[in-house]
Amino acid sequence: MEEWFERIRKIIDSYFESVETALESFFTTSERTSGCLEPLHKVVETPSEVIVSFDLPGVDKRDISLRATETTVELRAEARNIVRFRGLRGEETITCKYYKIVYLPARVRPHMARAKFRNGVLEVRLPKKAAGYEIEIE
Amino acid sequence: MERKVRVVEKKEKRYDGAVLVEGVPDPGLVGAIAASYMVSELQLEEVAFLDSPLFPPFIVLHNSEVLEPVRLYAGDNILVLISEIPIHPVIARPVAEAVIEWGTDKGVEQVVSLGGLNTPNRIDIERPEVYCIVGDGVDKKKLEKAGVKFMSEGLLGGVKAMIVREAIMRGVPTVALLAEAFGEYPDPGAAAEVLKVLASYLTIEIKVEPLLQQAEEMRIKLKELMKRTVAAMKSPVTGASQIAPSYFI
Repeated sequence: MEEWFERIRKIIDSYFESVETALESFFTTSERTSGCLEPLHKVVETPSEVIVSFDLPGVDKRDISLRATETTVELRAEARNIVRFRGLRGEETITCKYYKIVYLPARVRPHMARAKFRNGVLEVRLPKKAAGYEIEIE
Repeated sequence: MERKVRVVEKKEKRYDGAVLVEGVPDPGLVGAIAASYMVSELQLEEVAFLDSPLFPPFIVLHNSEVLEPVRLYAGDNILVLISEIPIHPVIARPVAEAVIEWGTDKGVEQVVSLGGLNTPNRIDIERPEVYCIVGDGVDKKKLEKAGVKFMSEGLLGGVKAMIVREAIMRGVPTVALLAEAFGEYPDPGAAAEVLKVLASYLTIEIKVEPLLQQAEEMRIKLKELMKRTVAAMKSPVTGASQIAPSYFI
């Protein structure tokens, strides 16, 4: 029983990388000092595409800059307003800029990428460079 | 056997006939946003917290007050469970058992679980649908009137599934209200839809407009909790094979 208890405790502890950071505020220390937030993002690979999405609350379409290469997607965006929050040091503000470079799981054709932005969520669809060669089975 | 999770009351009280609403972190933090909003909108009072050596070592500060991360609030005929930490799947069952056992001992007569359904095309959905799972003794007509769709197939996992299971096993009428949501981004829009259905079903007034007005700021502030919740939902369970459920609530 003790062993089981310890094992579970280790699992739980392992995904909370830093208690201090979590207690600090809603943002990590580097985000607070740089004023640049790393947006929540997701990468999904399908047989023909890589789909990258970003959560960009408070951002207008015109304030997004998006660049892609065969292996990366780079996002810069700026939110309309500063964000006020109460941290351990009392009332603080952060200028909400977003920056993220995403390394893609497969090579893509960046010039054929399509993007849409709705309700603060940006979705980029990048067709894969090579769908692969058909191999004949003898 | 000693309990791994226990409910600690601030003062002993009965909640005969009350509805217990649960909103722990989940896909899109839908339940967490909805339940926290209920606490402030209905001006509920903190009445108890969950204590366990299995919880990560956190305390929470609000207005200079030290709080436990998993708390129960109460108001007129209603109890609301909220959590500021994700509940890891390995402790889902003891958490569910502790909450439902305590609730039924205290006279709770219905359990409502609020949450999100990870919906891949959520970006194209203007108004998310709310689906529900119901146990015996639930007024289905009232739910139909509230505009929900009934789920008939699926595999459910996580603490919400265990709460629903435990409540049904104890014969408590149970409803899970799940809105289509971004699985990995905080989704106040989905939370608002869940609250509309809940308000109609329980015949209570919850104004969702202020929630929608705060939506952008809320999404920024909930970024870290969302990241930790996603990590908890994806983390492997040692000693057991991890099956990817079709709906992880």
